[in-house]
Amino acid sequence: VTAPPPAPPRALERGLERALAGERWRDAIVGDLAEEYSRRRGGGARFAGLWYAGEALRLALRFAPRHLEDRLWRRLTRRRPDSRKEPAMSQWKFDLRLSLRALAKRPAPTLLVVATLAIGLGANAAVYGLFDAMVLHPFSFFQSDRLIRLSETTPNGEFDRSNLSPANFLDYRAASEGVVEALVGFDWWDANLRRSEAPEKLQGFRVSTEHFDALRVRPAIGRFFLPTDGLPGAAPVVVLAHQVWQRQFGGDPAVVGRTLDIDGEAYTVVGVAPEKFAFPTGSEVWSPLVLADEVAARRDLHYLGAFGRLVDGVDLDAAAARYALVAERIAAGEPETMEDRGTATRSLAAGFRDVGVTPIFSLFQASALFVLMIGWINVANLVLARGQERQRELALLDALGAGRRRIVRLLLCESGILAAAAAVAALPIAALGQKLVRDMLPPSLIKFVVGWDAIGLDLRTLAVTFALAAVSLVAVAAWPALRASRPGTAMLLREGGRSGSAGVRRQRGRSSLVVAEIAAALALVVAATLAVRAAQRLGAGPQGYEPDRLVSFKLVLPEGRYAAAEARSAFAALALERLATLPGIESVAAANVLPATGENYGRVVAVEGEAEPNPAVAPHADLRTVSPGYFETLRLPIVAGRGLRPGDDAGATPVAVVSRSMAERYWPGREAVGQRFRAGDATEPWRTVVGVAGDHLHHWFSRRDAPTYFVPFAQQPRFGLTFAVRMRADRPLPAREVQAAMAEIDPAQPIFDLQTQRQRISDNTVGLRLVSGVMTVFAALALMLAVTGVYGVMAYRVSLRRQEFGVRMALGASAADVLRMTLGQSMRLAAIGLGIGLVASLAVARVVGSALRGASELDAGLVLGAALALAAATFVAAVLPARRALALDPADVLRAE
Amino acid sequence: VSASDRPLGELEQLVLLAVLRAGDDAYGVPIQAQLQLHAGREVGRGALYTVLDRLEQKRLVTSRLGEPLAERGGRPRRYFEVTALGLERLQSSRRALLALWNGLDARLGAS
Repeated sequence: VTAPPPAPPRALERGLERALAGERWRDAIVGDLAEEYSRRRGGGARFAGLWYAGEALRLALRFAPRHLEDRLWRRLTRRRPDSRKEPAMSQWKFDLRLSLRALAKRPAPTLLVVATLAIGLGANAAVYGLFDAMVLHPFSFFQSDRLIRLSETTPNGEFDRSNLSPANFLDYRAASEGVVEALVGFDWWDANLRRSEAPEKLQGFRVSTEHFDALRVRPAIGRFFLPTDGLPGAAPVVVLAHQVWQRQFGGDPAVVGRTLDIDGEAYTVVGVAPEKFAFPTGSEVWSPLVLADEVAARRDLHYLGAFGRLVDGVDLDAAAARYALVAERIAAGEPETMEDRGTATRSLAAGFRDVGVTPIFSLFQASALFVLMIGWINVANLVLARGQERQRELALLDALGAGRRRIVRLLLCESGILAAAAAVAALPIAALGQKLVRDMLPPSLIKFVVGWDAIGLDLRTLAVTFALAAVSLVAVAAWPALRASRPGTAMLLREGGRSGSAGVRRQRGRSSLVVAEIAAALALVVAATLAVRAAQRLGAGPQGYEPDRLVSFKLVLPEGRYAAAEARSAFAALALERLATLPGIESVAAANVLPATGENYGRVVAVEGEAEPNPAVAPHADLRTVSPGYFETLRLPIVAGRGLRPGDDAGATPVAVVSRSMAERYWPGREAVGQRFRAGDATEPWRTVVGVAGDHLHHWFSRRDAPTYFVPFAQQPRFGLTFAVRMRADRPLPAREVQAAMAEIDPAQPIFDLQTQRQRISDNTVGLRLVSGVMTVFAALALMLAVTGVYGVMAYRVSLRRQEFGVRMALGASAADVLRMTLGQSMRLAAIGLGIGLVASLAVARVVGSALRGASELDAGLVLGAALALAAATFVAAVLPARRALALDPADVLRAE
Repeated sequence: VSASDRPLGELEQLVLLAVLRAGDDAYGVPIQAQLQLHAGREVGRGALYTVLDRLEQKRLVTSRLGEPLAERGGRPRRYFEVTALGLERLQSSRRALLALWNGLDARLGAS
């Protein structure tokens, strides 16, 4: 008995069998190939495999299209394939050539169709590329989908991605065995790097020592962390980001082993991360997360992020179940810190996604689809109009025996060419769109945008674009193709030229297309107007303080050297004094947070003499710790009582200034000045309200009237400081001068993020501008397509009724009558479209509202204005062809018969 | 004019002759080998099956299935045989060609 002969690769053979499915001789063909394969195996398995693949591909290409077509045909018509047997591939090639020739014969409509589809497809590809990069696949680590992020949820579902307390993190970590390789904790770290020249603030993260292993990255040079680096008392070490290594050390490999002065401590560089690696997003330097015993026991401070890699064969649900169990155990033992808290285990992409990004990009994608669909309507219209012209040509083909199936195939070929050309043309449009969006966002923000690096036209985007093109093909071609396949086409040949009255039903179909276009365009115009107005109002409108000539910068005092509150107060006081001496400066102030900086701190407020609020449900008021000159420097008006004074220091009575909205919320109908409140937990002192300040706009999505209270910096000195400088004239504040002035107080203290307040507001509202910009483009496209669509339909109708108009005018109809007939019809359609559009606008306005977190306001005037504008555009589009009808000479028309 | 009355195409002639040459062993692989050997032509596999299919529909060849064979993954061979009609059509093609060739040897410089 001999060994069984070598069989061809299974997958290839099975694929070939599928491609030949339905072929009468399938087994004989596949068998012949197998027989030859076994003979060729003697020359080497690899060679034979390649040979087999080539042969199989050629056979598949030859036979598969026919079977696909057969199946499609049967499904569409529920008919058996034609009994007339046609040779397979050659016919397709022939039809393709025939279609190309037919399209080239009519270059103008061909180009119009391709351009219309390309714009729609390009818009979708651009948005999908952004959506894919920022929402769906922001990370490109090894098997990113196996990475998870663990957060906790706060009571009442108020916040579902709360960080973890150290003790909880350690409990989760200990319980991870078998589901997650190693739960990695990370903590934000403002690292002040001091070098011989100027100090620099780096974005650091303190991470568990398994951080890099979990992400499966290798160091560019040196090593990452050892387990011992994370033990309390270990010598401090850091890993540098590739770009920091290049920027600060010129890419010198000798940096490994050097010690750096960071926050006044000596850190040894052990390695450099690979190029472009920055996780968590924005990272420039990493050091091991060390949890000393006293910190490790805390359950009330929630500041650790956590992620990890699932163990092979374990799914996310299993990990989620494990952590939920741990949370229950903690809650049972420590009810007061874990009350009503739960866990949320998500994929890494979902866990790091900005909550605002998904609705915004969903809005974009939906709008892009709207534009594409309006494009379909136009193209369908065009195809319909041409179909009528071509019907005779097709009828002729039918009469010559081409068969209905052949005609459908010809039409499908044509649409296929159009769709493919549009998909290719869409790619540069998409690339341009993405470039515009990229250029719009300031680099300071991009650093922290998850998935930003992944933006581009990748394979997934290409696949989606071509899939949409295929859908477009069906959407615009299936209808006319199926109509042409209907019996009775040959009738047209006999009918002669007069087709004006034949198409009543067809006209109705076309009218509903126009109505749909107008409705969709109105919805998009309303959405865009809403977004533009929100961006205008919040970006350029009144802020409640004076943003012009205001410049600010930040610094973060290291906790080691500034552990004492007095040290921080002293630094701030000295810095303010020194800054005031710089030339061109009108006044200076310091605060923990300035408006439009993207940061915020809130506390629960208890009012004296009223019930203690439940911290789990009570709303927060925004906390500002400010220097006495804050209100004058920002030009934030004091509307009652007084501002803060230098005398309100650590030794004086605790005081606060509250915003008008805070006064109204907590002391409604009462004088707030003189009242007392306590913000935060019970260890905080009661504060007396000494004044009420006007409301201001802190961040575009926290409304104008966010309750805010201002505490003297000296009574609550913080580590993070923002200095606000009011300039005398509109001149820049050189960073070098400021850095030099600060160095006189503390040479190791870097400043960062020096910007004008206008720039901050601009950066802060970039999301709004992005939405309004993108929506404006979509609305303009929709409007343009709708107007050209209306024009096309009207022009076509008029041309169909030429004879009728000629006869009517010959019989005495006036120009006004004809105008009434043509215009009246189109305005009726416009009215129906606008009516439907109004309803759609209400729905779209809600979507925009949620994407902009309530920043948009819908009013009747806006919607009516948009409707009027659209009506006017429709009117113009209808008047032009109507005028052509008026210019008819009845005699000419009748003679043309 | 029915399909089977049309004159034979060149490829059809070649395939019919190759089937005859392959004799009792006339299935896909040897037929292709014959074409390669004698006509010096690489006929694509797909084209070969398409032509054989057409020839069978024109009733110029018949086919029958052999036994399933292990070396073909348990699939049978399909053996072809030229029918009387096929032979007749080959003969008439040959006659037509020879008649046309006749007397042109000198001008074509044939050996």
